[in-house]
Amino acid sequence: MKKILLLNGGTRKTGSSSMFLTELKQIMEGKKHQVNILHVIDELDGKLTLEALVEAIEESDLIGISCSCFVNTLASPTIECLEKLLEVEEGVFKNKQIFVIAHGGMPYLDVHEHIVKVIDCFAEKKKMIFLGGLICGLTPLINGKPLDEGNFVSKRIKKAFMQLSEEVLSGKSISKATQKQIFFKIPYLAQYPLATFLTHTCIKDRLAHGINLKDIYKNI
Amino acid sequence: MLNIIMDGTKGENSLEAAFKEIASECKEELAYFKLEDFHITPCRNCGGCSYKTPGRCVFKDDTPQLIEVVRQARRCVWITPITLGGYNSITKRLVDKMVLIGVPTMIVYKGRLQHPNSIKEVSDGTYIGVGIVNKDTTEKEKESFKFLIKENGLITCTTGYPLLVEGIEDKEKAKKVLLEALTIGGEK
Repeated sequence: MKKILLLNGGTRKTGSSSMFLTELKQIMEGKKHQVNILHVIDELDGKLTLEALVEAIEESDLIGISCSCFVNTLASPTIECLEKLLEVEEGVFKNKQIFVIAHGGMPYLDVHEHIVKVIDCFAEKKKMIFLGGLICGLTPLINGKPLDEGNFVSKRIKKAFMQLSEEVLSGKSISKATQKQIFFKIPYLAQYPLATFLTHTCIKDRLAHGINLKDIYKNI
Repeated sequence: MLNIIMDGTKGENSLEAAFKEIASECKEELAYFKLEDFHITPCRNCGGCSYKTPGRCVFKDDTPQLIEVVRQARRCVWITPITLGGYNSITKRLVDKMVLIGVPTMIVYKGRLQHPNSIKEVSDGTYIGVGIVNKDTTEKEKESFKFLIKENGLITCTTGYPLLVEGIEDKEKAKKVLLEALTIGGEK
């Protein structure tokens, strides 16, 4: 049995980052492992002390962090938390395994990839064993709903999570095959009608909320 | 043409003094901001800027005036100590608020779906990330930083230029760094 700590690196406790960890917890507990979820935003808000977070890390064999993408990388509160953890003695982290789930709206891996690089750099500095990252795009389409209740994106993420769990629980890095499960390639020319459709949907959605985007942004 | 320098470093250093010397000799409009002197609340992804106060952050802090300057700048220089291959948290607080500059609609820019820029659809501006390297900065961090700045250029519909520098302790060194940041990738 492993002791697993899943960190919500998103800025909300009820968003997609948190939902992904709940799903992973279910999968991992189903395999008889002990899983604890903590929220990084609680540390910023003073609801979780750094000492308690460090203690939770110390007690764990495997750490997973789920982060939403803000301007290509981690949100500032998550970076702030990692900055504090960088000051903690190396012994707490040494040889522990860590993996990351990076997610955001855009379907391209490059847009969210820096999140994986940040955690890789953290693992290197703290002499941890980095098991890689899984990048999920199109997450607004999930809209925070549990994966079993969702659409085609949710179903593929669920499959990828099953594979990811198998890999990280046996100490293996997250494979390219697992990443491929949730990579949605949009043909180049299809992006143009898609951009038009998404723009139209966005304008319509805002109008339904009483917001005329053309009044705010002159270049629409 | 407005050129701005967002200094995300902590504590005193020679950047501001170096900037003042450059500004006194420069014909173009320059502005410098030491980010730790401003109150910038972290982005909580609350959606307020989408539905409650479109284009504006719901939190009352110094973000509006800073973001307006970023919006108007043709050249935006972000200076940060490289932290895990990216920005430090002080700098990232304002970078996160750049979501206010993007329009929520979509265009295709350089082969990818992107949100357009709210000044004009695609800006001819430049986005410079100055990463300060120290003795503990690894090669992985340096490469990650360069990757990040190039991606940031794409996502802001500008062009991203990473610049790695070692130390800005003395004024002459700081001046050299600023001059390079203010000229890289375009005309002076």
